[in-house]
Amino acid sequence: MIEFRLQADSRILRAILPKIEEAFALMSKHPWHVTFPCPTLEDEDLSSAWDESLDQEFSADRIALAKLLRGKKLPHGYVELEEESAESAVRGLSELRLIVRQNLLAEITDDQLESGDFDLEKCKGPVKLGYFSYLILAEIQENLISCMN
Amino acid sequence: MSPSLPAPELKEKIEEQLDTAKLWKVIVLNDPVNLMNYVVMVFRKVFGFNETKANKHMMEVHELGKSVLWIGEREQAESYVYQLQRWKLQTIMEVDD
Repeated sequence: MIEFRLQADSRILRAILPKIEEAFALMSKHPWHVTFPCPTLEDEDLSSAWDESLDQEFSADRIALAKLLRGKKLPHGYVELEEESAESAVRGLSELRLIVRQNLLAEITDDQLESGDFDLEKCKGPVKLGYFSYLILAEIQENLISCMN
Repeated sequence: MSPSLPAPELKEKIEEQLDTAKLWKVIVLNDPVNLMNYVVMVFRKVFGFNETKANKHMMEVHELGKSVLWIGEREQAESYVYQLQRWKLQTIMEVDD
């Protein structure tokens, strides 16, 4: 079993968990075949098999991620996950961060997001919550990767 | 007298053979979302790179916007693109000129 404690204050965590759940619900509706297209689009059979197979892989990753996000101790700052689900959950976290970026942080540019060089105080409430969600998900992913190594 | 043009099926076969003879580049594009240590981990897992080589490619993606990870036959290139997309990295493949 992988276990670690997040640095984030549990009050902040409880405030952003509903936002993370909202973003999680959007994951399966996103047209991922547009973001991750088959490189041989002219081959319809390959393209269709490609999309279907990736879709199945992404679904499996979401199941692992759901286990992590619905952990009883998460609202208190503790992450728990079975080791065999870690790799899938790490991939799922990337997908979830992509969703948060596209849906909640659309007004922040790529450069600002990468450098962190923007005035969070001037952002609206939902953007602030989105940004904290984005950071917490990164912290969880970094810790999981360390545990896997 | 010029030779007659090949029949459509023959032309298709020749194009197919020429296509398989080409080399393809697997290219990972930068995105602002995936973490540096995540990208390094993925390169190590997918290509079996050591830490130094994986780091070099990650920095290329970060600083230049893209990095060529592998060059070779089309089928293997497609397999690598699939694996990298499975890890949610934006990846394309192009003919190596």
